[in-house]
Amino acid sequence: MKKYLVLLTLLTFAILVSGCGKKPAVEPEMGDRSTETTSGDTGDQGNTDQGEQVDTSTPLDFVTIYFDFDQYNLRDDARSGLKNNYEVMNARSDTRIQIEGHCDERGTVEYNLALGEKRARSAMDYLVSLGISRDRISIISYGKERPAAFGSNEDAWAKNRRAEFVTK
Amino acid sequence: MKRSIVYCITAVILSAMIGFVTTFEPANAQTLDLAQKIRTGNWKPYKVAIGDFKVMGQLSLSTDSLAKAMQKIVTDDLDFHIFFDTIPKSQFYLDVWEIKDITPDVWQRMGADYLIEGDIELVGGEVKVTYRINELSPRIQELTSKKLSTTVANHRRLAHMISDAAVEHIAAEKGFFTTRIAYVSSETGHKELYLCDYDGANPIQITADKTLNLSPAWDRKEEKLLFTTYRTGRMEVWERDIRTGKSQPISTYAGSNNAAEVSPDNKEVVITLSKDGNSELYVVDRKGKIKRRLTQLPSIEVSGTWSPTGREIAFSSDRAGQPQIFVMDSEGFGVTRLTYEGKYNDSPRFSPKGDVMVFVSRGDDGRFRVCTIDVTGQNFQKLDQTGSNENPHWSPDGWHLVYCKYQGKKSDLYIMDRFSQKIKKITNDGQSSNPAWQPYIP
Repeated sequence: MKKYLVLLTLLTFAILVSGCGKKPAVEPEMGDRSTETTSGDTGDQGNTDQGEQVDTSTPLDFVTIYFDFDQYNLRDDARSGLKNNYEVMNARSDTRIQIEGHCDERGTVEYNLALGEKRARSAMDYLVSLGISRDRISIISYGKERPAAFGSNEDAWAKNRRAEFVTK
Repeated sequence: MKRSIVYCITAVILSAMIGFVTTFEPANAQTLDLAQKIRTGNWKPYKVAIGDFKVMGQLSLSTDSLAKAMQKIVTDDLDFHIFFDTIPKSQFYLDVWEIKDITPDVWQRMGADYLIEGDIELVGGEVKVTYRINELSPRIQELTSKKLSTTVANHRRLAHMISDAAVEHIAAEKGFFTTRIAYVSSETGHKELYLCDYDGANPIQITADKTLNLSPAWDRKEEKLLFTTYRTGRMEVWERDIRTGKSQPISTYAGSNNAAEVSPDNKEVVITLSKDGNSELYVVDRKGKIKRRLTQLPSIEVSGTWSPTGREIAFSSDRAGQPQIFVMDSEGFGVTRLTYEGKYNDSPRFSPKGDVMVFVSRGDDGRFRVCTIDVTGQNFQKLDQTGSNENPHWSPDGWHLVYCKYQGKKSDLYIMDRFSQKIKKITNDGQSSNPAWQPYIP
């Protein structure tokens, strides 16, 4: 009887833990661009779980990070995305990358080119602060010229305000 | 003694400071007066009739259709021009009075003050046109007449020359109908530079590097364009000679090279460079060598544009949080903020007379409106309220504008007068943007 109780407790705990790990806000590591981290400019409480994340496996790939409207500062989800990208670069020490900064359509051509560059630079500076050598990173801005999603709505805008990581 | 030296030094410093303060040339008083009258509806456009272009010599289907085509081009030109209204044939009038031949006095009774007529002859592949511009009121008299000839393929240009003559002889202004517009289209799948006539006709592709080309800016004397290009994989500014078809790099500094504009004296270029880590305005020479740095702030400074005298440069800066329009002298001193209305303003361009700034202002709906404001900061006006409109650029006469309208996934070029009383779509590919109207070539 006692055995069953222990088993049940363990099982419940396991389910809880695995459930916890699947919170979308802390899953940029899975390399899935479509996760809802994109629109998470509000409550990113999921990030409190960050400390529990002990992922010993090699990260799969670079993830895209996202920005708030008119902003180039790094959100919490962008920082965790960058930590993932840092791991990727560490695992592949010969890899050089270009960070592409992009913007949504609600900016002018010229200003967006400048803003996209600031976004790419924010990402680069963060990676450098984590310990990546600056000569492994170059940056470029495409402003609003290469959107990831079409449409004049919050969903498309949120997906377009991004920095992508391309191996060179 | 000592005191007088101090006074002297103070005077020198003061006069130097005054010299740096941005000053504007008073715009032509007549222009301001006329602008005010048009804006308030207290000005009547010139009423012009465009008569049939009569076919001389042998009548053929091709000559007849050419005559009708040219009549339509002149009519469309003057219909669009802010100074003109064209008078259509009144069928009612013609029927009731059983008029067979519309003579100048008939046009006059239909409301025309001026009449443009022409004779057209097709000899081989050559079009020969004689046009006459007549004043009908208070009395009928010929203002000018001229014989022109060209190839059939070039007939649109010849028609535009007749329209230019009408503007010159009737309104005593310079026309813009033979000028062209540089722009960007992605109809090949890549953003390439194109050129078209002012009315969108005769589009030709001028770059084909299959990358990304933006922000064309005209040389002030020759058929050359500066533009932002990604052809090397970086954001650089290159120059394209339209006649020779040759491109050469101009500004290739580390970081981004963006949004160039040639100075009125054609010797310098204002440009945005981020070589020191942040977008700042610089003046470079025509070979791209840096002459001076104009701004030095952690904010974004972009979209530099020269006043017609070359003494001032307007630009946008988000130093106050979001982009606003500022003006400084061309050495980078005496910065003053021009726009306070609207949270996000960019893409400034001085009018060719220097009295008005056009720019775009973002509304709360995220859409851009083309706006104008006097360089004194007064008379803020919102133009064309439909779609989201960007990259306004003055016609060389300063009475009209070209801009790009985004509607859904489509973007097309439009032209309008500076009060947006007349609006005309000039491209139809749904993929055109970044227009730059050619200046008058001296």
